[in-house]
Amino acid sequence: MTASSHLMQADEVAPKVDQALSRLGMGATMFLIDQEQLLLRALPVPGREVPSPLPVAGSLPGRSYMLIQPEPDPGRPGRLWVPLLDGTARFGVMRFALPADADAHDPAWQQRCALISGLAAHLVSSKLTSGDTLHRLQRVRPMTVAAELMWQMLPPLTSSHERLALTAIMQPCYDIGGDGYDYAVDGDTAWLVLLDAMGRGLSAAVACAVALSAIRATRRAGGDLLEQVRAADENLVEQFGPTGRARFVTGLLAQFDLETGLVRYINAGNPLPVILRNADLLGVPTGGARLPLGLRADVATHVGEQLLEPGDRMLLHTDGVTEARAADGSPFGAARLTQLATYCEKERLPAPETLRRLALAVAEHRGGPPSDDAAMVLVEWSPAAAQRTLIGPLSPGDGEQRS
Amino acid sequence: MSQPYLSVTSADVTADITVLTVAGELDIRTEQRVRAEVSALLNRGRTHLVFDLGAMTFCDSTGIGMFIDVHRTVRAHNGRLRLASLKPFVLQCFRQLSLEQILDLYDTCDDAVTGHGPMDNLGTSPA
Repeated sequence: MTASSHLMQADEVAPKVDQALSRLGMGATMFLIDQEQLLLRALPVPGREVPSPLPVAGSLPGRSYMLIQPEPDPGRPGRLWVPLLDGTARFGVMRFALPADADAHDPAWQQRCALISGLAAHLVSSKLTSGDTLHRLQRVRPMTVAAELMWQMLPPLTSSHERLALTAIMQPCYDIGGDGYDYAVDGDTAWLVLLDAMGRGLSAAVACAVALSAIRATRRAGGDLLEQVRAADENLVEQFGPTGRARFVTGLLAQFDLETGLVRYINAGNPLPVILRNADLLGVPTGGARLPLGLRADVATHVGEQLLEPGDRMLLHTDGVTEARAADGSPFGAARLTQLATYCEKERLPAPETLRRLALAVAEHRGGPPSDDAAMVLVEWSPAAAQRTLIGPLSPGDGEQRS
Repeated sequence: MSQPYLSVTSADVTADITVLTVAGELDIRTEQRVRAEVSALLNRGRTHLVFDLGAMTFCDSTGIGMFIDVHRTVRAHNGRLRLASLKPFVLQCFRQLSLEQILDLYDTCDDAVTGHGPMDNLGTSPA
């Protein structure tokens, strides 16, 4: 499978995986999650009937996706659902038909299938950009130009490492334009960025792209927080200054030391980040405040500092989250966001699932189409939290542990 | 989507100063009307502008961008922009963006016209 992958087209991933598994007396169907993380859609295999899309909510495969764990089908012996996980990025689920003598509850078989699904997810991830087939399956409707621009700039939604779980989410998926995030984990440092360009649509997306690229290029060249912010300022002014119309981008940039827990940050007009300790609100760091990126002031920029303890969680969000308004005008609110985040922590949900549920709650509160983008970045400084973003637990009848 | 309510009126209150009263929702759909009013005033040579925002119920990022543009434009004409009577929600939003570093904010329209008692302590605490 790996040997034949070099020349593989995007649309050949599922047939090749299927072929390889049938030689082992197994069958497998891959389901990709859609951009909004609501629907699982099967990758077609020529000559086979394409299964109907499956909702994440209330389904067994959905449960496998949400809780990142294998789910044996109680109604069909030998059928096992396993998350499709590349690194810690969730691509969907895989439906296995095990050989006749195999038990789907057997941890050894679950482990084998997790290994195969990991390889398959890696193929999906590496072939994503070589064709449009996989992108099409991830979309239930076309992207706007602004959303197309933004998504191709952004790193995967989830990227955990030994010391931290790191995940992000953005809405509305098919129509984002203005919000964006970035991160980089190297050595003992995790860099985090969450941006929100003024306005909406393509012009906001372009402004966000300019700010994000300026920050990223400066960071990769070894620049510190202040240099990253300065680069964003300069490039925004250069791009949009001559038009005579201010174009600014609010943003939070943080440099998180994974050994000491020290977070150094600059808050250029974003809502205050939320820090949770033992499922309680520890506080909102108010330092490092400055004007939005692209508006230069004569006042010097200060860097704020916040010391985290092992196990702490930090939630960054844009104002589209807390200011999402219901039909009666009531905002979603910071209190509700904190309350829900602490509930998810008590439930020990995987970090990406916490954000998926927070985003769903915001969308439900709003009811209708959003008037602003809503984006969040969640960091959990905890090896256990990082483990929860991997496939597990692998044991029979243990499925209730994370429900 | 129905057009949100916004009204903008202006009155010359001194030899130099014109007060613009904005009421309703200032956002991407309505900001152009305020820009048009400001343009008309600049064409008449009115460059010292006070915005009475006591009845402005909403201001999004596009509205804020407009105030920054107006601030820059009147400065380029040797004029001045002062904003007065911001509602608490709007003021909180301006504070979140540290906008008091570039915009002059006043408690009341009278203060803004006389230039007395600018709200100079809005800044978030330094790091």
